[in-house]
Amino acid sequence: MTDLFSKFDPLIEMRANLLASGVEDPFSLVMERFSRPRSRCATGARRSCWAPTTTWG
Amino acid sequence: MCNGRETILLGTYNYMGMTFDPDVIEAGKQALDDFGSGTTGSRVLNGTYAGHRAVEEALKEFYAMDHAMVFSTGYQANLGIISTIAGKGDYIVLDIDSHASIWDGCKMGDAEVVPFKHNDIVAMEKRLKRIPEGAGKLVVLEGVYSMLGDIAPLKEMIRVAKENGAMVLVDEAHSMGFIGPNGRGVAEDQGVLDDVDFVIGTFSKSVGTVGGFCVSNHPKFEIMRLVCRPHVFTASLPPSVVATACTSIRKLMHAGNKRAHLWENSKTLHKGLRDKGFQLGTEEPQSAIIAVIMPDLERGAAMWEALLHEGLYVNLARPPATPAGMTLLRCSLCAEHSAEQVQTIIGMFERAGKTVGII
Amino acid sequence: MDRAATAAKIAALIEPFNKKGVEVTDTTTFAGDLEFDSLTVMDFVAEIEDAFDIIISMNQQAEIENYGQLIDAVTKLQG
Repeated sequence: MTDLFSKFDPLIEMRANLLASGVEDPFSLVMERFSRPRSRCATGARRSCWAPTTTWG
Repeated sequence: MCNGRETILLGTYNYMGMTFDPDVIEAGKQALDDFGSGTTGSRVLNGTYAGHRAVEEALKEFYAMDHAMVFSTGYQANLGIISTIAGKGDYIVLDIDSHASIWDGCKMGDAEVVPFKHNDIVAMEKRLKRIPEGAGKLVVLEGVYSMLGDIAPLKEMIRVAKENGAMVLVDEAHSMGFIGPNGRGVAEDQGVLDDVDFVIGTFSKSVGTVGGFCVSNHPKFEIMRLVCRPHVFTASLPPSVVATACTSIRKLMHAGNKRAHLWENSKTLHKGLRDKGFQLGTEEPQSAIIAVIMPDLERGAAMWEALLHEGLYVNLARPPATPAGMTLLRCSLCAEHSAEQVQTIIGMFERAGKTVGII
Repeated sequence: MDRAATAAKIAALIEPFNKKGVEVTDTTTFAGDLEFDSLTVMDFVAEIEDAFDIIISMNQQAEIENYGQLIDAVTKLQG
C-alpha cells in the first residue's frame, strides 16, 4: 500500500527534531483553567477590573 | 411547535434524542460558566481548551482508536482530511452519490478524482486497477447514504480497496451512535472497522450539537493537526459545545436500549408506510432514514405541505441533491419517538397521501 | 489505437446516449448540443472508460467540452 502520509515525512522529521531539542511545543498548548474577569467595589465605591488571565501547565 | 402548531419532527437527524438530555445540557452550562462563550482562537494557537482534549479522548474511547481530531463542523472534517491527505499525483476513488462535503474536499485538493456508480463494487475495482502504478490511492465511502437511507457493502468494498493498495476513508455521519454493536457505524456492524484508515463523523446528528471529527489508527495521524487548513485556519468550537459533545458521546457508549428502540421505530415506520402503498428508498429498513419516493416535485411539495398541516415535519429533497432526479420525503427517526407516535405518523402519511392522490 | 480508430469506436458508443439524434461533429458540445446531464455524463464516461480500459478523471473531464476534445483525450490516454 502506498502510504498517503509519506508526503508529510519531512515535516514530521523537522517537528521531531525541534521537540527533541527540549522546547515546549508551541502548537499544542492546552488552556486548562480560566480566572474569570472579576470586578469589585473598592474603597470610595470605585470599580476596578482584573483582566482575564490564562493558566496552563 | 412549528408555525404555531404542535408538530412531530421527523426530519432532524437527532437520532438518539440527545439535544435535551439533562446531563448534556448541564455539562454545557457548566462549561459556559467556567470557560466562557468562545475560544476566539485556532486549535493550534490559543483555541485548545481542556474540553477539546476531553472530547477527543471520548472519541478515541468510543471508537477504540488511537487518534481523534475535532473540527468545527462535519463539513470541515471531510473538506480538511480529503483535501490534505490526497495530494498532487494521488487518486481519490469515490461513490458518485457522496455528500457535498466530500466532493468539495476533492475539489479543494490537487488529487485526480475518479467517481464510480453508487455502491457498485465492480465499477470501483475496475477504476482502482486502472490507476497508474505507484500512485497514492484513497477510496472514499459512506456508511449510510442520507438520500435513500441505504447502507454501503463496506465489507466487500474495503476488501477490494485494500487488495488494490488503497487507503480507505468512511464517512459514518448517519450511523454513529446507532448502527453497530457499539454504535461505531456500518464498518463496525460489518466487522471491518479495523481496516478503515479514517472514520469521519459529526456532532450534529446523534451527538446532538455541532462539530465534526476524524478518528484514525495511523501512527502518523497527529501531523494532520498542523497541515490541515480547515483545522488550522478557523476558530475552535466553543467550550460549551465540546462539553455537551463529550458528555453525549460518553452516554452513547451505553445506549444499547435506545439503539434497540430506534431500530424498532425504523422497522415499524418502514413496514407501515409500505403497507399503505408508499414507494420507499430501500426494500428493507437499513438505517434510521426512511425515504419516501414522490412521483414528481409538484406532488412531493404538496405532500410535504399536507404533512405539515397534519403536524408532521419531514425533509423534502429534490434534484440535484437527490440521485436519479428523484423527489423524496426523507424521514429520520429519533429514539425519543414513542411507539404511539410512530403509529400517529403512519396515520398522518395515509391521510396526506390520499389528499394529494399519491396512494 | 490511432485517432481515426478511436473516433470510430466512440461514435458507436455515443449512439445510445444521443437520444435526440443530434448530428455529432468535433465541435458538438456535451452540455449544450447533446444536453447531457450529470448522470448521463457519468454513464457515458463509464462506457468509454470500460471500452478503452482507461480512467478519465473528473479533473480531465472538466477540460473536455466538445466531441473533438473527447476523441483527442481518449487517443492520448491510451498512451
